[in-house]
Amino acid sequence: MRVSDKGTFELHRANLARLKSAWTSAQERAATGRQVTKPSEDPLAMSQALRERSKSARADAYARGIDMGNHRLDAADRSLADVAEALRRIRDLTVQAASDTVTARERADIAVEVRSLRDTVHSLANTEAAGSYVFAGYPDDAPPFDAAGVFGGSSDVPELEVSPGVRVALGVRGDEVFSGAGGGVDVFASLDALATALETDDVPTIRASLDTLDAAHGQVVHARGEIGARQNQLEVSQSVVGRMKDRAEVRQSELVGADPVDAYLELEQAQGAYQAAVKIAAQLPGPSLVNG
Amino acid sequence: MSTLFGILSVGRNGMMAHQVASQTASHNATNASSLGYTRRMANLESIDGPPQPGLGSRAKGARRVIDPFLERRLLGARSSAGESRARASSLNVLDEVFTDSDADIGAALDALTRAFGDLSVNPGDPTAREQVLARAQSLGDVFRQTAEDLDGARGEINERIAFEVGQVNERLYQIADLGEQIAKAELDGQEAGNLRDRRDQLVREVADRVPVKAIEEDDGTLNLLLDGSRVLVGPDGEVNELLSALDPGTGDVSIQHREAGALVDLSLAGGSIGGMFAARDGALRDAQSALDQLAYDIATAYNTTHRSGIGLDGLGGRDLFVPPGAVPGAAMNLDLSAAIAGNPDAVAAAADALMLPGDNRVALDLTNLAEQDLALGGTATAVEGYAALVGEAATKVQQATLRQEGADAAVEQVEALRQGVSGVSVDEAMVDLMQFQRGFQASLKVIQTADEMLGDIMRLKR
Repeated sequence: MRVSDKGTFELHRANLARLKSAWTSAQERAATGRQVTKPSEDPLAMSQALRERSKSARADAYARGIDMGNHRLDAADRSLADVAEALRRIRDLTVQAASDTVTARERADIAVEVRSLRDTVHSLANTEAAGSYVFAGYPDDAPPFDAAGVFGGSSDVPELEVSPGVRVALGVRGDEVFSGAGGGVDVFASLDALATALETDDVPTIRASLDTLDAAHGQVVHARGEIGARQNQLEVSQSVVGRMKDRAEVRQSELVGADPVDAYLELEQAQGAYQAAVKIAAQLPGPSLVNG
Repeated sequence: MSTLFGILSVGRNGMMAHQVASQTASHNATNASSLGYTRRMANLESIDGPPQPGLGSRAKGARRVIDPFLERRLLGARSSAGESRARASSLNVLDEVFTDSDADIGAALDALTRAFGDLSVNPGDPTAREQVLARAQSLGDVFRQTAEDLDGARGEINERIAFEVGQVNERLYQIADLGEQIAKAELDGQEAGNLRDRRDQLVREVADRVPVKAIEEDDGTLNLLLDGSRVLVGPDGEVNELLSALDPGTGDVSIQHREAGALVDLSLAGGSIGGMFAARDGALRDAQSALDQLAYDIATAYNTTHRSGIGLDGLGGRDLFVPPGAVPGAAMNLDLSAAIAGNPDAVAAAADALMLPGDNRVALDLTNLAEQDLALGGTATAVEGYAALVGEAATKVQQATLRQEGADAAVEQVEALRQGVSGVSVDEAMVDLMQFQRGFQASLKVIQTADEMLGDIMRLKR
């Protein structure tokens, strides 16, 4: 076949352009650590990587929510622990006051202490965490229990989504724990009645209130158990979303990331090919009648 | 009857013929790199007698060495390379627009979901509400930016098409002009090589832009046909140029051709103009409508949920985004609704006006929209819808790029074949030059010999 000079030069020009382009993209891959830098290089991988990136972002968001939820549950748990402690102290005082050897005057003194403990429980029931009252239900910007201990919040517990489709209640219902909604004991009414009985030296009522106190204590302990269960749920969710994030990130780097060793080898190879082509092109035009 | 003076004429003719032939070889050697140059071959022929045995040789001009079938293949290959190159370069914008970044639509969606998540934990917190507004705003911004980028690319393609139409027309007139010149120059039967080279090059440049077929008449004029049937340049040199028309509604350019006095809309399936049409009305339009549809679906779904909720001010029924009137333009117009913009308290987290501010039920629903199949006709989440859109656009860019590589390789191959026939080999030209130099020397020797013979005869008389 006839070989024209223009054809030869054009062949080399096209070849050099191709190899240089391959070399440049190999450099880009090695430098960025990404196998796919433009969507068109691998549309499927890029499209999947976008989803994985979103999953990883969602996992981050869940983890943040779980942290905040933990904070709120911890606050509720701590105040319920203190309430249980106060109720036990009141029970001890009541047992003491129920004794026949105690005088009316001593009972009046105990009444003062019971009233003070009742106020402690009252303020614990109005616990605030991060600007919201934890036992208030939804209207959480105002103390749920008024001075008389009457519940003014809502019979709800705000929920948190902790992983796709899974929601956890952030606390317990204030009216159930303290006001006896749903068949329990109204803690504040019982304590007020007890204090009045102590002040009026009404021993039978004092003795009768021991059962009520036990029921109230049980109610609080039960609520703590529920909170503990929810804390466990959050802990599980924490590790679920942690794994979700890990998986998404691994998958993402599998899809669009470059293996450093491969990237380096590819770069070496592309560079070698380009250098060889340059060397050959440099020998053009070769022996010719013109320079012979 | 032969004379000694006849031998002198033989020498003179040979000298002149080889001078022309040497010039042809030199012309070839020095045009090795000229654009569109076709190598020439000197037509040396013998001048037959009477007087017998003949009067030597003469150069009858120079013939272009050309393979008409290869030329035709080259036109076709260049049309499809022009098409795929224009298509691929017009679609590159999709690669740029949809390359993943921290500020793409998917990231903006994730950020909005995160803001709603934070709001669901702190429904009364003003900062969480401000964040929701900011994220919703930036989602609108990035949709608008993306839509503007695509729209800008579309505008660029339209300008480009109009420009290329001008380029084609300019060449049509030059081709018609050259046809006339060639016909005149070739009246004496000699090929007007340079004029033909220029015309062939112009035809190739037209073929880069639109698919054409060139049919040559006996007198050297050329019929240039578009798509095999529509006359662009007629045999008597009349030009029927391409017209570009702008649709003021869409801003799109279309191409028309005058046919028997009436304007006909053309759809071209080749050449760079055809490629730009294919890109504009194919992948680019698809990406634009998919983006609009996604924006529409997102705005509608978030609005519906948001309207069901109550703001901190106890009011409900407000849209989050300006409700899109129609799918087309939805991406360009995605923006915070007037009721929400600048009014963080209007962000609806609650389901019940009496349960403020801790009620987070609607905030949870809004967060959960990220998990809902609201896109692609209810089969994919918003982020999945975006990922699908990116994947689809990227696939088309990839196809266009692969096709371009194939078409470029085809042109390279045909061009190499053409160069094999019509290209200049400098060495070959040098060998020719030496050969003709020999011929020239031989002719000189003939003259010298005839002169000596004449001298010998003169000496006889002394």
